[in-house]
Amino acid sequence: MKATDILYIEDNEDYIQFVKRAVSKINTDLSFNVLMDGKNTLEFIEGVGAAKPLPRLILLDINLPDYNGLDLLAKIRSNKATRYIPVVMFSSSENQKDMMKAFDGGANAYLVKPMGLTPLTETLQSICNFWLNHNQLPVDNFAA
Amino acid sequence: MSYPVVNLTNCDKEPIHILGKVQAHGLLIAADRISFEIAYISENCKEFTGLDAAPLLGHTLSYFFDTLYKDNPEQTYAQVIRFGLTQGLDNLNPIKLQLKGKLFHLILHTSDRFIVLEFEPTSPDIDSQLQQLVGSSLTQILEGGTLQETLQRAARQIKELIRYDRVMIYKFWEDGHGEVVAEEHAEGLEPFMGLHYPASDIPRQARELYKINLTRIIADVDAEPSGILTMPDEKDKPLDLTHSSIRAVSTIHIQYLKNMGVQASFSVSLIANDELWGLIACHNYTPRFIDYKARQHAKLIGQVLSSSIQYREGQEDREESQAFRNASDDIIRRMQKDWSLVDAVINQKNFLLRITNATSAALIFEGKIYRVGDAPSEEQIQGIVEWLQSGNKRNLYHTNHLTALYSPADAFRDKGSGLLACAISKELGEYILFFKPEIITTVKWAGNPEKPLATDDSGALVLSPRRSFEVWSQQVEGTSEKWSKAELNAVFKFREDLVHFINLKANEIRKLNEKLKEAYDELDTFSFTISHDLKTPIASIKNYAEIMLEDNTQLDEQNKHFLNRIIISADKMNTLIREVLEYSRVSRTLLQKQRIEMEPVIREITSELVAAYKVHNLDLTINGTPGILGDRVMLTQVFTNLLSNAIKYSSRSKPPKVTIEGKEEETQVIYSIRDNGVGIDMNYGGHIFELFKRMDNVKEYEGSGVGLAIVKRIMEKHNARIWYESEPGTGTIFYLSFEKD
Repeated sequence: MKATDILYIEDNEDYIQFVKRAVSKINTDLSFNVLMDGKNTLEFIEGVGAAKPLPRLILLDINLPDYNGLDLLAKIRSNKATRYIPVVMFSSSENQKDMMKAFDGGANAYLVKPMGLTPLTETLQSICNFWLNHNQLPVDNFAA
Repeated sequence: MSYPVVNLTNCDKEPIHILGKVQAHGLLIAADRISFEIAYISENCKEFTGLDAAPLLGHTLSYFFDTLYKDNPEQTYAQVIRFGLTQGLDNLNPIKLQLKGKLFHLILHTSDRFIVLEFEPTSPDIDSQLQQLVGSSLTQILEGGTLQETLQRAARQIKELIRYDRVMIYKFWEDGHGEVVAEEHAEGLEPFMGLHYPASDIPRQARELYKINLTRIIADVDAEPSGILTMPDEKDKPLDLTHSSIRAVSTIHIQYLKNMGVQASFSVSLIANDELWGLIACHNYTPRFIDYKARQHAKLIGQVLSSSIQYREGQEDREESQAFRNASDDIIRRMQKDWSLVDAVINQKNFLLRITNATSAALIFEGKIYRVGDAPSEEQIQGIVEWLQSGNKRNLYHTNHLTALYSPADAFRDKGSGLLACAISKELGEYILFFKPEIITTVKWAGNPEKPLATDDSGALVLSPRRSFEVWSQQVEGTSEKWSKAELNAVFKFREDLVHFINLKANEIRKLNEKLKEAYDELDTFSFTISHDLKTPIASIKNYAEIMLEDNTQLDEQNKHFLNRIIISADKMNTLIREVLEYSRVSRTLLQKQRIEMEPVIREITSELVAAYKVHNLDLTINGTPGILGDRVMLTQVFTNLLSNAIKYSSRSKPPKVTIEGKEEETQVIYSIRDNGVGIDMNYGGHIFELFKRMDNVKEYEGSGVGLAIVKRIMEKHNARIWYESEPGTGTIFYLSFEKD
C-alpha cells in the first residue's frame, strides 16, 4: 500500500473534488486519500502504528456529520503516532474565537470555506511547499 | 355727576312676616294655646262680630265664642279648637260658621305658643262650584305632551278656578330674575308672555316665604289693612304671621301692584327639587277675593304641577343626556372599529356636534385643526388653544361668556361666545372644543330692570317700586346659552372614554412596535444566515465552472464565453452577499467607540481605492481631518463606501476630482466628500439610502445598491447625520455630522 501524502477528512463531495484537483495541480505525484466521517477517522488514528505508514499532511474539516473536527484534532494530537503530523483545519466560520480554538487545539493552519479554486490551490501550494519539503518534522513544536 | 344704582333691596330688610296688620277682608285672633287667653286681635273685629277688639284682649276664646253665640249655646267652638289642637288642625280647616248672619270660614293655625284664628268670607255655593272643577282639572293638566303644554294647561285650569283676569306662570332663572313662560289672560289684555322681570321685583325674602306658604292672596290693594292689637306686654313681640293667609303685605309690594294697575293678586308657589322653581302669578284688575277652598284647590294644582315639573325637567334632562351619551358611544364604537379619531368625529356627519347642543366644534389633533360647523377660524382656534394651555385650566373648561375671560374672543362672538373645552392632551395642545354662538338675546324686560326707581319733582331719588312696565328690550352681548349639566356630563364621559381609548391604542402600538422589532431582528438573523449559507453553493458553482473551463480545452468560443459568464455572475452574487452580510452585521455588532485619527484612515482608503479603480489621474484634495469619536471598523466602512462612490462615479470625468473636507464646530465634527461625478437627482431624496436602491443614471457602473444603506445604518447607529447636495452632471457632496462627545 502506497503511503498517503495527504489525508483529507471531509464529507462534502464538492470540496473533495476541489481539494483533490488543487492537490493534483500542485504535484501529480502526491498521493491523496479521503475519509468521509469521524468514525472512520478515529479508527484510522487508533490503527496507525509502526506497521501502517502515516500521512504527511492532514486536512480536517470542522463540520463533520458525526464528529466535531476539533475533537478529532485533539485525538490526533494526543496519539503518539500522529501528534507531529501537520493539520490544516477547514471551517466555514470566520469567527476569531473559532479560529483561536483551532490553533489552541494544535492546528497548523486554518482555512475559511468557501474558497475559490485559485486561492485554494495557491494556499495549499504554499502549505505543501512548507510541510512536505521538510523530511524532519519540527518536533519541538508540540513538546508535550 | 353719577347716580348710584338703586334697586328694591331695601325690601330684603323689611320684616314682612311680622307686620302688624291683616287685610281688610279677614279677622285675626291669636290666643295662648293652653290658657286660650286672647293675646292679639285685629282692629276690624267689630265689623265682623259687632264686638270691639281691644276689650277682648286678655279674655279667653271661650268667652269670645260664648259672647258671640249667647243665643246659640250649642255652638262650642272653643272646645272644637281645643280638640283640633290635639288631633290636628288640618282635619278641621275650614270651619264653616256665621258671623252676624253671614257665612265665614274659620281657618286655624299655630304660631309660636299661639293658636291663630282667621275668619274670612265664603259663600254657600262654593262647594258645588268647586265640585265640577276638582276632578277634571288635575287629570287634564297631567294629560301629557311637553312641559310647556302642561304649564299652559295649568294656567288655564287656574284661570277657570279663580276667574282672575290674568294667570301667568313665572319661572325664576338662576340669577333670580323671572320670565313669564305661560299665560292665560282675558280678552283685550296685553300679553306678558315672554317678559322678564328683574330679580328685585320679588325680593329674596319674599321668595323664601313662598317656599313655606304656598299660596298668597291680596284681595284688594286699595282696602285699608287692619292693625293687630296686642296687650302692652306683648307690644315688642309682634305675632309671627308666616302661616297667615290674610296678613297684609309690604306697602312696597302694594305700590308695585298698583303701578301695574293690578287690584287683586294671587300666587301659588311652584317648587322643584326643594327650590322655588317659579310661581303661578294671578292678577285681577278689580278687587277679587278667592275662597279658601278654591285657594286650597289651586294649591293642590300647584303641587301637582310642581312634581310634574320636577319629573319632566328630570326626564328631559335624562333624555337629552341619553342622546348625548348615544352620540358619544357611537364615536367610541367607530374608533374601536379601527376608525381614526378624525374619521370618527369629523368626517362622519359631524358626530361631534351630537354630543352637546353646540353649534360648532373643532378638533385639534396631531398638529392639525379640524373644524365642524360654523366654527371660529383656524387662527382663532389656535389662539384659544394657546390661551387654554396657559395657566392652570382644567381638562374640562367651560364658559358661556368667553369674551369676558379672553378678549380676542370678541372677534368671533357670533360663533363662539360659549366655549366648552375638553383636553385630550394639554401638553400636546390637543383639544376638542365646542362652541355656542352669542345669543343676542333680546331679553324683553317689563320695564328697565336697572331703573326700578323714580324721581320726585325735585329730581331726588325716591325709592318706590318702578312705575313703568313698558316692555324694555335689553341686548345681552357676548354670552351664549349656558352649558347644561347634561352637556358637561356628556363631554366628561366622552373625554374619559376617549382618553382611555387613546391609551389603549398607544399600548397596542407599543406592543406592535415590539413585535415589529422582534420580526426585524429575526429578519436580520435570517438574512445573515441565508447570505452566509449561500456563499458555499455559489463558490461551488464558480469552482466547477472553472474546472470545466480548464479541463475542456476543445470547447468552442461560445461555450467558453458561457462558462465565463457563470463565473462572473457567481462573483457578482458573492459581492452582493458580502455586502448584505456587512449591512446586517452593522446592527448585530456593538459599537466600540474611540477617538479616531482620521488622516491615516483616509489616506489608506484613498490609496487602496485609487489602485482598485485604476484612476491614476484622480485630483484628490484633503482639507482638514479632525478626529471622530466612533467605531473604527464601522467608520472606516463609511468613508470607504462614500469615497469609493465618489471615485467610481467621477472616474469618467476629466479629470476626476474628489475633495474631502473636515471641520470642527462647537458641538459637531462635519465632514464633506465632494466629487465631480454623475450626480444624483435630488428628487430621490432619502431614497438613495434604501437597500438595493440604484439611481437610473448609474446603471453602467458596477454596484449593488447596498453601500449607502450600510453608510446610513452606521451613521444612525452613531446618532450621527448624513445628507447630500447634488446636481446631475455636476457632482455630489455628502455631508457627515458627528457629535463631538
